[in-house]
Amino acid sequence: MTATVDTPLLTVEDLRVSFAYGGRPVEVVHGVDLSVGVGESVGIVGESGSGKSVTGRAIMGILPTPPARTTAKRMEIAGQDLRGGGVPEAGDGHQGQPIAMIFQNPFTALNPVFRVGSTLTEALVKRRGMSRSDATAEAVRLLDRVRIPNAKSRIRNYPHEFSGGMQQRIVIALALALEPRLLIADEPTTALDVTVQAEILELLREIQTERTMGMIFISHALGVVAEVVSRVNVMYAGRIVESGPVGSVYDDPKHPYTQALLLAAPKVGQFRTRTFGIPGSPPDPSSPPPGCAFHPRCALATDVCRDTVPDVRPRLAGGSGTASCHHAGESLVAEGATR
Amino acid sequence: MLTGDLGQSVRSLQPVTSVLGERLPVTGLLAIGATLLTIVVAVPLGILAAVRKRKFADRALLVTSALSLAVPSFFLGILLLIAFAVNLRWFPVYGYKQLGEGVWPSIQGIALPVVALAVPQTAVVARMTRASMLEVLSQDYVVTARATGLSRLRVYYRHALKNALIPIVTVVGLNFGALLGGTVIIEQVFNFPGLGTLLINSVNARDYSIIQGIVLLFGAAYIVINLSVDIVYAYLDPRVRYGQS
Repeated sequence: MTATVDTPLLTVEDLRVSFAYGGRPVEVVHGVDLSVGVGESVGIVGESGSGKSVTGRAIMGILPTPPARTTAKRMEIAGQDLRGGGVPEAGDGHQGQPIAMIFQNPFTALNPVFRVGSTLTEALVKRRGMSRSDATAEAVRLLDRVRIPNAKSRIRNYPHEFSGGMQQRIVIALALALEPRLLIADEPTTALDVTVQAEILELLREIQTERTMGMIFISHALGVVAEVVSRVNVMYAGRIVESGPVGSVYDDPKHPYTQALLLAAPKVGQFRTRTFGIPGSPPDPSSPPPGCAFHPRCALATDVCRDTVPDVRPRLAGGSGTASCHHAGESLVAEGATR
Repeated sequence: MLTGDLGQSVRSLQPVTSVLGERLPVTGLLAIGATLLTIVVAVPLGILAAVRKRKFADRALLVTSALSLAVPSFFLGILLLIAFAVNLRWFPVYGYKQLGEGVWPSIQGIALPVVALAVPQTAVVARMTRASMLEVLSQDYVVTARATGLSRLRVYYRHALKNALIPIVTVVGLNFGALLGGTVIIEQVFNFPGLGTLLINSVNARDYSIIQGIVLLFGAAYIVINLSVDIVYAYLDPRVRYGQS
């Protein structure tokens, strides 16, 4: 687990993202609050379409505008306002970029027509102001760091000449070339097989510790998130429904959605004749249900859930973390909702 | 024939190869000029339309390209002649006479037929560029390049364009054949002594050996162009490799 430092590196308050859809804006992220400490690693988990990737891309400033529109009460990294849109520049004579991002699919994240060395040196020359020869040497060092064997000669290869795991290492090297203070990892291991996944996670953890780099780790795999982050945010339908230290959220989930997600994840060593699934599917963002967005699928839903959006409230009295539910703390298992 | 001897003209009794050799530069100049003009104009326009998708520039290109495709090039050629050579007198009516008399007169001489040939080509290539760029711009590596903080222009022209060029090269190459056909008509309109004019005169005169020579030449040109397109592929896309790796 990584060191949690209390100095906030990234602060996001009330982040909202909407997309113009058929002439009418459809909000897909409804007021997300997020903070990442220096060197801290924070997870965002949720189903497909919960808005977790959009949140990451909004912070990175790479959503296409239009159709996307991003607003926030506050969105800053180390005091630098990110609300202007676009990829953030390094402030006060620094080189590089405060935030970098790695993506889900390494096979398509690298430009197929450029040698990996040229992709890396381009970033180093353009964003770190290096000379071409310094950049080449630095590119080799970066590839070495992400454990590409024979980095010196491999730099002349094209992306298709590498395996998926190797390609993801190169994408990580490209992100590191920017010397980011925060790395946004959007499902970086989803497209890889399990053993490669473990290697990439290990590499990310190592690099994060050695550079005291903050990280936002986006994934739908609860287990993967638990391995790399200290705090977790559970997203559903564009809202963070529960957040807190990863141990306490996983051991004692307060939100019925978190509870259901954890129940749905199979565990090693536990034999089950049938798996538990959450009935229904996430709401269509263009016509969200009134009240709590989760109520149509929630076994604990009552009248209040159907007409009032729940406030963000503390998970535990005096503890850190939040849960947004009218029935926070009630147990799905106790209600017999899991069959 | 395989020894390079195409026989003699039935009418003038001159060797076919020397007749063709005289005419080829004129047609070649028109076709190459039109292709270059097409690329120079169409590719930036297509990129602009892709980047400004569904905005004014994109719509304008759509309408203009539909119009340019609909107008036959001989008609366009006549319109150009009336407007720029007869009324405005910016360009000569018999342009070929100026060829070889310095750079500027030569350009002036071939300008109108080259434009007449290039307009429909430009329409096709610009729309192809737009479609190809749009596809490439939605690729993940473009997002990666943006996330690396590279400027928009750099992302469009370096990262996206090199990928988008592959289908564009195909279209330009295939259209070169159509262009050779187009010169036949355009040379008539502008009275250029190229292969097209020669072909029509020979057909009228039943000069079979000349016709045969031109057909062979056009066929050979087509094959050479297709071969070069395939070679350019390998340069543009490192995943394309010929022969044993």
